This record gives sequence, structure tokens and C-alpha cells, in this order.
Amino acid sequence: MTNSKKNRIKDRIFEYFGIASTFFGLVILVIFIGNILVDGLSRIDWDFMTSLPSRKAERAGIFTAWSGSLWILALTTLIAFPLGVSAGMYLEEYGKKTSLSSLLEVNISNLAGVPSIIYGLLGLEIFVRVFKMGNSILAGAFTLSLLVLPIIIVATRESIRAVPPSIRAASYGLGATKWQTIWHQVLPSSMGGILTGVILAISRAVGETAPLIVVGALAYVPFAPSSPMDEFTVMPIQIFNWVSRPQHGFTINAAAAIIILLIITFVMNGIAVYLRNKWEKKISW
Amino acid sequence: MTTKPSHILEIKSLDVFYGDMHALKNIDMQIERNKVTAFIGPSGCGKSTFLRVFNRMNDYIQSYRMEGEVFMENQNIYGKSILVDELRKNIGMVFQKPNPFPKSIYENVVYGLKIQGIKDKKFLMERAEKSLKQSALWDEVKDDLNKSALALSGGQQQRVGIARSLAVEPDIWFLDEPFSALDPLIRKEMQDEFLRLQEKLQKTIMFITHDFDEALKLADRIAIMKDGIIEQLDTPANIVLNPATEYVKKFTEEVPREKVLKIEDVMNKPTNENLGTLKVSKNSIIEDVAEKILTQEKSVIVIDENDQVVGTIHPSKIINTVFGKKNIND
Repeated sequence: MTNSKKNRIKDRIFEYFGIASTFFGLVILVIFIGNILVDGLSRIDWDFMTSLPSRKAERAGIFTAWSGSLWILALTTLIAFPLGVSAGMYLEEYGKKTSLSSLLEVNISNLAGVPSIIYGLLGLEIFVRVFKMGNSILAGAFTLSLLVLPIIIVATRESIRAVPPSIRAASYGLGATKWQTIWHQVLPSSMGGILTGVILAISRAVGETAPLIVVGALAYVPFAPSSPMDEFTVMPIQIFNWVSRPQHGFTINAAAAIIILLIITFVMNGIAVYLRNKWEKKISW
Repeated sequence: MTTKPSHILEIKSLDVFYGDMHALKNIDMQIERNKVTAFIGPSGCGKSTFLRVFNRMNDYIQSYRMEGEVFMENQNIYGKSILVDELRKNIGMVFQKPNPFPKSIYENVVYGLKIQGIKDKKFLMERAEKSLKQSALWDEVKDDLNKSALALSGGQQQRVGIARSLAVEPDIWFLDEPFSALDPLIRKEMQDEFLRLQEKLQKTIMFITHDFDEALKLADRIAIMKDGIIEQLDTPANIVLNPATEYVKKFTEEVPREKVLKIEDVMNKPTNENLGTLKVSKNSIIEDVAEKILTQEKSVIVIDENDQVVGTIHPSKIINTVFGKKNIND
């Protein structure tokens, strides 16, 4: 066999291997979604969405879980968005030269790699105990904010860095101050990328379980929360709770809840993609 | 009454470094008020750096270091009491590459006014119209002012940049190779527009170019730069006639004399020799009047603005100037 023939066969083999690798994840996802849909789709109705938890599987609903998730989502966004964007902006626009900022930078990269359970312990110690927030939504939201901050900071920095220096130069050249340049030019131009990063980060937070278990969200909550200081549960914890029950009815409930959670995640990712495309169309350098 | 000095900008022993690189070397110079000064030289000779010394746009470069003093209207612009953004409001700047903000055409043009806190819609609109007319863009965009400036062609975007810098009505105007990104037809149009504009506005203008013809056409004074040194700063005629260094000599060797020199640069003193009847102005560019003079057999009378005879010129001198590049002062 000649060398070039051998190489061509290698080429072919790698191509098939690549296709197989690509399909591996996809096939598993399709099987998973199909399975879940068969199990859970018939369980989803208005009652399921609006019922409180119950010991009887047929009467149990996910009202407390999704309202808790919405609370968490809203509060986490409110906390993490301004903090993350401000921090990213500072690191990118202001704190470039000091050794302090390079120290911060290293630590932020490190934070992004910390397991989520550790954030849970951090939240338990700081927010639940030191700040005496108890097992409240607020404590959970602060904990999740810590978790997603590094993602938002990195996304903010990258979007800000993508703004061409010529735009800054033009703004400075007209006598704009640094803040005016950031506020009128840099931020609007990078907002698409920032929002995309924020939404992806928040949609990750919505699916998080471990840190919330640690800060005390596992508690059985028989009512929907009405203030940030209420106890709460969230969708993933409700699902975990149901899956661990022996009765078949709860397994079906879990499947139905998974569908709802997936829909929330897909919708959020969809919004992120939409925003990115919209901004990319508006701003093409 | 004290009159303003003839120069508006003054540099005293300026040195600029990027890290270890000595970018500008010991420059002393004055920029004349209400005149056009062109900077020309090879890439990397420090033209852009030099221009940005005056509006302190180099401040953002980390490795940048500067020594020496820079004065505007006798005020040290690197002094502690200077607010950089206030300084820049008086210095318009047009960049080499079009760089419109990702906003509407209107928002681009009035940005400089808005950041000064001006909110009067009528005033802003008037300024937008005025400066878009000055940059010869108004007719093309007057119905699309709310359209994104990014949707415009490169040449139009560059004119948005010009309008944007004019809208704040600065006293000093910097142009960093403003026309080099334009195609030749529009470039010529913009150069003519520039001359018309300057006749009206009489601003102090510093502009950078790669194109010696452009410098000759637009500038009152030309600075030739090389390796961070200003080799010569002088009128176009003097640069061509009396090159200060070997480099300037080489640079201007190929330049057609007749396009640069005026009649007064080559005329003789008034004499009682046998004169013809034709009269030409001493301020005429040789190229423009050469044909007329060459039809004469006798010397032609040279007059000034007040019709006074200031010299004579023989047709043979024109031939010498155009074809014999040496010894035009003989």
C-alpha cells in the first residue's frame, strides 16, 4: 500500500470518527428528551402549574418551585448584572496598570473554576449566618450571584474589548470624558455581547441545585414565596425531591417538571441568541 | 491693544518615547495661526504621534513618555491645571480611517455638542445641517439623517467624520490623512472642498498626508519628517527651491517646479530693458501662466495686487524652470 493511500484511509477514518463524536451528544439528548416527553407531557396542565406540593402525586404541582425559580432568577439578575458589568468595565477600562488589578484578574479566573457546592458553603457562612438572611430567597440569590459573577465579568470584558479603539479615539477627540465615552459609546456598542453573557449565566443559575441545597432551599415549602425573605424551593430541587420518591406518580411529575425547566432554559438561550444576532446586525464594524 | 502672536502652537525641545523607541527627537517649532501646515514623511516617521501630542491623544498609550513643553496660546497644555477634555473641545480631529459611531448620521454629527451638554434641538439640527453642508454630504443624506452611519459608503463615512469634527466649531483642526482612504475622484472633490472651506473658515489646520501633490495643493507650509525629526518646515516654494537637507532634496527632486513655484519666485528685478505688453500677477503659479508667457518674445511685466510693477520675467526663464531643473536661481 502506498503512503498516500494510507493517508487517505486515515482521512476517511477520522471523518467517520468525527461524525460519530458529533452525533453522540445529539443522539443522547434526543433519546433523553423523547423519553421525558413520553413520560411527562400528559401530566402538564393548568392544575400542575398552579398546585402546591402534596403527598399525593396526582394532586402535587410545581407552583412553589417555579415561582421560587422566578424569584431567584429575578433577584440574581438584579444583583449580578450591575456588579458583574461594573467589575468587568473597571478591569477593562480603568484598572489596567496596577498590580491590584492583575491580582483581581487571576482570582476571577480562579473563581470561574470553583465547584458550585463550594459557593453554597460560602453562601451559607456569609449570607445565611453572618448577614442573618436565613434560608431566604435573598440568601440564595446572593449565593448564585457569586457563582455567575465570573461568567458575567468575562463576557463583559470580552464585549468591551471588541469595541474598536478607533471609536474611543473619535469620542475622546471630540472632548468626551472617559465616563462619557464609556456610557455613550463603549457600553451601547458592547451591550449585545454583555446581555448574551448575562442571560447564559443566569440560565445556568436557574439550573443550579447544589449551592441552593446548602443554603437551605431543600426545605419542604407548602406555600409560594411572596417576599425576598421567604423560604423557598426551586425547580431542580423539586425535581430531585420527586425523583427520589418510590411512587411511580412522582416519577411522572418529575418528568413533567423537567420539561418545564428545559423550556425555561431553551427560551432563555433563545433570547440570548436573538439578542446577539440583533446586535451583530446593527453593529458591524 | 495687544495683537495675538502669529503662532498659536509652540513646541519646545519635544522628545517622545514609546518604551525604548525614540519616536520624536528634540523638536522645536511653531504652528502659524489660521494657516494650513502639512506633515509629510514615510510611514513610522512620527507624523501621527506628533499631531496627537497637541490634543494629548497619546496619553492613552501605556509605553508613551514625553519630555519638553507644548504651548497653545502660550499656555502649557501639559500643565496641571489643564483639563484634557476641555482642551480637545477646541481641537477637531479627523482620522485616517472612517470611524463613525454605530449611531445615526445625526447622532454622529451632534455627538460633540451633546457631550458639552447642549440639548436645544433646534440648535443641534442647525449645526448638523451646517456641518454636513461644509463636508459636502448634506445633499446625499438630508433625508436619511436617522439612518445608521454604518450603512454609508466609506467616502460618506469619512465625510460624516469631517462633519462631526466641524460641528463643535474648533479653532484648530487636525486631519490625519483624511482623504487617503477615498477613491481618487472623491479625493479630488474633497480637496477642492477643503480649499473652499478653509477660505471661509480660516482655521489653524495641521494635516498629515503621504501625497506630496496634496500637500502642495492644500498647504501654506509643509513640514517634511523622517525618523522622528522635522527635516524642514517651510513654504512649498522654499522647500522645493532651498531644500535644507539631502533627504528633502531627494524628496522634492521629482516635484514639477511649475506646479509649486509662483512667478515671484523666479522673476527678475524691474529693469529698463525692452518690455512687452503682457502683465502677470506675481502670485500666479507658473503652470497657470506659462502658456501665455511662452507666446511672448520680450520680457513680461510682473505686477502685484495693486498693479504696481515689481519685476520682469523672460520667456526663457519659464523654459529653464520647467525643463532645466537646476540653476533656476541663476
